[in-house]
Amino acid sequence: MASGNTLAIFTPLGNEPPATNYATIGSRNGHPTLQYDDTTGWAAIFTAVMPQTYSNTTGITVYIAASAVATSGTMGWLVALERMDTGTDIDGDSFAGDQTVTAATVPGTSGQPLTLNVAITKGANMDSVVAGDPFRLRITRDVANDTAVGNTEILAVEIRET
Amino acid sequence: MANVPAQKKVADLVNGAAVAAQAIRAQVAILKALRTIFNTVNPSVVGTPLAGNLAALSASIDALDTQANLAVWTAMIAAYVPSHQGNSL
Repeated sequence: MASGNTLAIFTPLGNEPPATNYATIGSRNGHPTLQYDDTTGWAAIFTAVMPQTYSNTTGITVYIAASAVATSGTMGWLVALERMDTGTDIDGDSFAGDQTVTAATVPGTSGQPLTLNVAITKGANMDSVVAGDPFRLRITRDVANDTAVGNTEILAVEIRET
Repeated sequence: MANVPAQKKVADLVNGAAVAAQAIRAQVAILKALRTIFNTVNPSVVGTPLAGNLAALSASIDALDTQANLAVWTAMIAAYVPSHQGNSL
């Protein structure tokens, strides 16, 4: 698949929340959201199958569209993948290391989406996910580095081939 | 102490002050309303805890009212962020 093509899209209602510290379902003018606390690193998890068209040439780029309660400060995320191949025991988590979506200034109007992204190189950083692999994507708010006070709210997530 | 930026730690005190200020203002409003009714009814205070204390109590209610309505408290209420749950300090 060519660079820039969409591999997967996730929306809030597809969340498979972890047992603790999970992003909570919210609604903003009818838009489902995943609400993230500003102090504790809440997470959301999505499951998909990497499309057969994924070439595994460079890796993927994860785009996160989210709004914020705040009109100042920054919003950042941590992204991790977990390959679910035959060698994976799903009774335990085995996510690769978090990849950091650099925190950026939130819009001056609360409710305006801000789309941020991080490129994740193929191999270990992607937990070696390749075409045809079931996998999970975990998104955690980077509470240690972002500065926006109050909730941030994920609206949609897209994975593209880098 | 959570490992979070200063802005979130500041919000802990801002939110706490805002919640407290609103509660104090509500209680002072109740006291002022009670005082108004009391003054209208004007019962005898002889032999009660209010004997000799009525003026001081009224003055204290006024002082609380003044303090609770200082601009600094209004600013804290205006800066309140409901979705900030605290725990940052």
